[in-house]
Amino acid sequence: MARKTAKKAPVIMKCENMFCAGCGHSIFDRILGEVLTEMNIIQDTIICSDIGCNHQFQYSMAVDVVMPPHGKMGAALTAMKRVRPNKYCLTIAGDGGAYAIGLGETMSAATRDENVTFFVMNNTCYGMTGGQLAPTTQIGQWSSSTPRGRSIEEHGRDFDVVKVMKNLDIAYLARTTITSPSEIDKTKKAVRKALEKQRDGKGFSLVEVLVPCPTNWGMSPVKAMEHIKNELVPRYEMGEIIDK
Amino acid sequence: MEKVKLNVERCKGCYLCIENCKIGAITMSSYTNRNGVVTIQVDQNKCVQCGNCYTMCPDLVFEIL
Repeated sequence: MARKTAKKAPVIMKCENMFCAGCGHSIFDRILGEVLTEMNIIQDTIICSDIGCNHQFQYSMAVDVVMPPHGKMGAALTAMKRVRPNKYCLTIAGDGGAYAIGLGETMSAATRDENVTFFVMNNTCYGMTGGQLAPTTQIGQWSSSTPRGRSIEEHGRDFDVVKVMKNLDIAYLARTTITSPSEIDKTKKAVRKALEKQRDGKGFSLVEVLVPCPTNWGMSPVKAMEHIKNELVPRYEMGEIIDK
Repeated sequence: MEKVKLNVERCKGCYLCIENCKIGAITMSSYTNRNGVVTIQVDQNKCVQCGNCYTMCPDLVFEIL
């Protein structure tokens, strides 16, 4: 049966994107574009861009963008929200920017429960620089700087944002993925809910999306989606973890 | 009747649409676009307008009419 959901690219997506074939960032950007269009808040949105593959959304999306130094989205969003409290302040960040370089700012914004929204694209590597080991790289996973795979003895354990933020007093925390149309629908709901928390002044919200990086994982886009489904999803706690 | 409109010049060849088309209406075509990518084609008679191709496509190739 035909579905009655959005079937046409939102107007906010002004031209074709610059991502690699099968990249998860471009799917997420379209999801966010659909949500902003449905909520009719494009004019009231300021997106804080991070450095990394994710920053390329600004070339294909017609939105207002602020670009702080690498990883400082938490601090920049705090300032933006306090100066313009009636605007939606959100960031599209990568796992490197939010969990490695900018972990201090991300955690500070979360512990203060600032009324801002984080969308973190977790592809378990540093995508833009060539797929090196990141804090989120899984144990045993190949990366270009760990050709024998990540080991606990040599590189330590991996980072899991849900384990870290589970006990904080924040408004919304969710982890989703984009491996199938049904998972994309769940992601869209989570994105909408996170923005509604900000609209209602509930506090800090973070949605982590597990996205593929076929180029740096050395897989075809279809295989990369299967890798997330079979290897990453069983290791992580998925779904809505905090919803206040 | 045309059910889905394609902009194959945007296609980058990830073929997630072929994988997610449950009724098999999308196949490889013989056309190569300006990026050098072998693109896809849709069997308009088989298509049921479920929208899975639109949902999975990272490059906004599809528009369900």
